[in-house]
Amino acid sequence: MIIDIRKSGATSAKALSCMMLGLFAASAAIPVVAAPGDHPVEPYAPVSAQADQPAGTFGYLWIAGSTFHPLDSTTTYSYPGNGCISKTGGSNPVFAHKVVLPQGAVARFVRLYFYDDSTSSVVAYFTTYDGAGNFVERTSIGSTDAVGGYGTTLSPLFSYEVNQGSAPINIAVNMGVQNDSTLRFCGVRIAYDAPIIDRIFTNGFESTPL
Amino acid sequence: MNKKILDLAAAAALFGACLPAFATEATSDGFPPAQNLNYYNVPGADQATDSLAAPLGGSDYLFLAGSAFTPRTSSQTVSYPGSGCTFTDGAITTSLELPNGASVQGVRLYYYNNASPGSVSLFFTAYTGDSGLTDLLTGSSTVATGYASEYFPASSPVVIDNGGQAYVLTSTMSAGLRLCGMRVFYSP
Repeated sequence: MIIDIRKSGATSAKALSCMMLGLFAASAAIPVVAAPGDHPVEPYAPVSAQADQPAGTFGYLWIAGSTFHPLDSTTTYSYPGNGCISKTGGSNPVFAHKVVLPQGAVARFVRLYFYDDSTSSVVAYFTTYDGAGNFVERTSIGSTDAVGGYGTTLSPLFSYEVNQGSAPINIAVNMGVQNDSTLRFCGVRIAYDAPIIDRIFTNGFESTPL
Repeated sequence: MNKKILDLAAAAALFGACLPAFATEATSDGFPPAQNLNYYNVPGADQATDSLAAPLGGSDYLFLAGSAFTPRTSSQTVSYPGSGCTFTDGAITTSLELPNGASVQGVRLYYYNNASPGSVSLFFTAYTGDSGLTDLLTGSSTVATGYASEYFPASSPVVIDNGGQAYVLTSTMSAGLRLCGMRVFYSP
């Protein structure tokens, strides 16, 4: 819209009023810019099998199964290949790997990768600890029998803001009672919102003239 | 001539007076002990950042100790000979977590081989979780004079895609050898 300021005073005042109203309405419709520490608006999309992979939305941390270790030295396990592991014995079926995400990131989904041609299942838990004997399983996701063996499942949408100073995070994986390679844990992919970092005024304004 | 001799004598006296101070600092101020002289560094392009040939835009390293790698099966033997090095008769792995979009130029392998046959091997592998895998970089040690490091460049830079695959560093080694670490050379 172009306003001709050469028009009479009444006409241009009316035009300016309309413009101001328009700007006000437009500003009301624009979402407030997120500030540091704000949680992004959720959800991004209805939770579906692909909800963790809208283009350009999430950061990812993908950890292969072959880098996990058992919690108990009596647990036996094998490497059937392709980055996967299988439990072969022992009374403690849990494997773990640390999760290091950026401070302030918000974890949203855990995607489980597996090979499941068994009657048992593998379950992954996104778990936080406090170092004082307490833990919280923020979300979990289990395998299902998959055609051809290999498959992937997605956890429900959840929201956990990373605080590296107060709560370490592990992915704990329970391999159940299956003790052969018909059940394999191949990895997890964590989808997270990157922290909002605003460094513009971190040090305040310049105290001396440039 | 006499002045030159006097200047040299004065410089020698000053240097001599300072020697005890240097020696004291080296032991009392927390300086690291003398480096292991039995270490052989094979120069590589990953060390160009120390020189004027440093690439524009900067480069970074991610240095992981051998003792941070974990066994891939429970049937293998793992031992810790010390100094951050590990021996195993199987494969040991660790997850490689780099910023999305980072460009890996290569990996420097740190190891110990004191005249033993065989080698220490490295594998930089990407997995897709559905049986797909790609060995992005492989290498084997060639020096057998004790501690050593060698750089293995990627045939072309590997751009990290954290949404598309998992990245793993794996090592295997012959009897009597040790993995002491891997240093990933990348551009953020």
